[in-house]
Amino acid sequence: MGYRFIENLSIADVAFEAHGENLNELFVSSAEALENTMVRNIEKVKPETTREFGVSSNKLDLLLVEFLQKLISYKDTDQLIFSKFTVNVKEIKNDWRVRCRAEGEHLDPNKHDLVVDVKAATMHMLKVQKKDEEWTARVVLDV
Amino acid sequence: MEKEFKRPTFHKVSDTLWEISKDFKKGMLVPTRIYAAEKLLKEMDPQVFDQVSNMATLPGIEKYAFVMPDGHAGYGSPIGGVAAFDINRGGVISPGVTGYDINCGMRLVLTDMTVKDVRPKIKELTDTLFKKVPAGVGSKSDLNLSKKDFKDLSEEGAKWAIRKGYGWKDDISSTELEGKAEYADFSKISDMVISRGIKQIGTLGSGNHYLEIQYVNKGDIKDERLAKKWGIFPGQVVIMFHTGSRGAGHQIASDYIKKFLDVMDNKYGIKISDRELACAPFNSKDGQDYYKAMGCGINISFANRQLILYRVREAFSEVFKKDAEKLGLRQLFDIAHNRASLEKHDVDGETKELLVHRKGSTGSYPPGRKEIPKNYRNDGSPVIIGGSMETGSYLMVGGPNASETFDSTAHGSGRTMSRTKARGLTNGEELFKKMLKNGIYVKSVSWSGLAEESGESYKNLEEVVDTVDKAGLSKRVCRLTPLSNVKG
Repeated sequence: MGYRFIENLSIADVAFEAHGENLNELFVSSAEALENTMVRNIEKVKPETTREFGVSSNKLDLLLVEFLQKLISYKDTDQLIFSKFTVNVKEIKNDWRVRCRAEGEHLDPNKHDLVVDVKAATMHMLKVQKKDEEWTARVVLDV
Repeated sequence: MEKEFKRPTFHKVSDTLWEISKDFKKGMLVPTRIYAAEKLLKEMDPQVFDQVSNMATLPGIEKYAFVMPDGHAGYGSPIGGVAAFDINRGGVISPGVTGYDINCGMRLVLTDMTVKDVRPKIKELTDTLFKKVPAGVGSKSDLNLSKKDFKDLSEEGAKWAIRKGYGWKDDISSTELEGKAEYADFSKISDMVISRGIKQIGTLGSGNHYLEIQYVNKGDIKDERLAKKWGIFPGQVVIMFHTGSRGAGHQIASDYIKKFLDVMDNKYGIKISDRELACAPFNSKDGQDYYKAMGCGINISFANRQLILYRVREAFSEVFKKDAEKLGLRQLFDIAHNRASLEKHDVDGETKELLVHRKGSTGSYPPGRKEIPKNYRNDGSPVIIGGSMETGSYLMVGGPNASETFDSTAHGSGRTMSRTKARGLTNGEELFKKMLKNGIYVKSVSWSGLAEESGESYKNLEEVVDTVDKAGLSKRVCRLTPLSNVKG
C-alpha cells in the first residue's frame, strides 16, 4: 500500500502511481496521493470533519476517477482536505461501486502547507491493473 | 510502465514550420504541422507528436492539426494544440481539445504610473493585492452569490459583473466577445458545476495562475506606432493576470467527456484512440448541449477576471490614495487561450464555418476580422503571451500569416520540467530571495507552489515569441518585465 509521484509523465500536471493489496487499499492510496498533491504532510490534517459518499461506474478505472473527482469537489465546495479514508469497493452485476467515509478538516493557509490546487482527475494515461497479487493505479491530476 | 512515444519524421516546410505526414499514424485524416524553431522542435516531448496526430483523426478536421511553439503534452490533445472542424461536414466539438479550464485566459490592464512611482510601494501594493484577491488551494470567494446570481453570471459573463457595479463599461469593449458568450445555457450545466463555481468566483487559483505587476522597459517596445496608439509608453506600469473558470469549467469538461464516452460510438459511430478526445458532432443534440455548457464556462471565466480587476483597482486606489480612474487603470485586453470558437475561414478558396479549438493557444486575428472588438479591428487583435514569473511576458498583435493556423498563435512559455522535479531542484524560500535580488517581489500562498513555477521549469519565452513572430502568426508589440507577482 502506498504511492509515488511519477516525473515526466505529464509535465504540466501531476502523475502518481498507487498500490494496494486489494481495491480498498488501492483507493485509499490514491486518495492520499491526491490530498498530498494539494497539501504537504497530510498526516498533520486532523480528522475533525466527516463526509460520506458513494459513486458508481461501469468501468473500474473510471470509478477511481469519479471517486477522486468527488474528493476534489469537497475542496471547492466546503474547503475540505482529508487525511483518513474508509473505503469499500464492490462489483455488483458489472457495475462498480465505492462507498467512502473521508475524515479531515477545513483548509487553513496558516496551518497547512498548501502546494497546488487540483482541478480534476483525468483519464489521461489512466491505468488500473492487478499484477502479482497487487493492484496498481496510474492517475494524472490536472492542476 | 511508462509508454515510449515514437519520434516521427519531420518534413521541413520553413525555418519555423515542420510537417508530419498522414501516414505517421493509422486513421489520420490530415497531416500535422508544428510551429517551432529547430531547437524547440528537438526539445519537444515526443508525446506531443503522438497527441497532435490523434487530434488529426477526429471527424471533420480541416487542413492540419497544429502545435504552437510552446506546445507540451496535455491530456488527449497537447497544450498549444489547434484544430478546426467543419461543422457542415460532421465536424466535432471536444471538451478535451478545448481544455478543461474553459476560457483560461489573460487580462492586461494599463496604468498612467511609471516604475519610479510604483517601485517604492511595490511590497505594500503586492501584499494588498494578495489580501484582496483570494488565491491558492481551497481559496473561497468573498461574494455570497445566490444560485440566481450564478445563473445570471453564467449567461451574461463580464456583463453581469459590470451590471452589478464591478467594473467600467469600457472593460467590456476591450474583452473578447464583449465578455459574453451569447449561446450559454445554464440548464446545460450540472449541480456540481454550480456548487463548485459559486464558491470560487473572483479567485485566482494556483499552479501557473498568477497576478503580476509589470513594467515596460525602455527599448522593449518593438512596434512604436501600435504601442503609442494602444496607450503604452516606456517606463509604464501594467498589470497582467492569468486565470480561468476554476473548478466550474473543469466540472463542465469532466461531465461532458463522461457523457460523450457513453454516446460517441453507439450513437455517432465515432471511434477515438484516447478517451480524453471524447467528442460529438457539433450539429447534434449532444454537441450543442456541450457548446451551450461551454458558453457558461466562458462566461464564468470572463466574470471571474472582471471581479479580479475590480479588486485590483481597489488595491491600487487604497495604496496610492487616488481613484482608479485617476491612476489610469484601464483595461487593454482580455483574451482566452482555452476555448472552441465558431468562425468563418477561407479553406482552399471556399468560405467554411469552422469550430476552431484552441487549447493553450491564443486567437490571433489579423486586421479586419469580426472577432476583434471594434476599437482594435483596424490594427489586429492584441495577443497576450504570459511568460514565467522570473522572465517576463509579451504583448503581440495578430500577424499577417495567422490565417495559416485559423488565426491562432502561442499562449505562453510552455513547461519543460515536471512539478515534482522543479520542487526537488528549487527551494521556494531561496527562489523568493533570488527573485527579490533581481527586483521581483513575490507574495505566494505556498513555498512549494512557488518552487514549482521557477523560471527554469519553462521554455525560453524569447524562442517561443521569436518563432511566432518570424512565422507571422503574431508580431511583437512590446515586452513586459515583472516587478512583483501574486501566486496561489
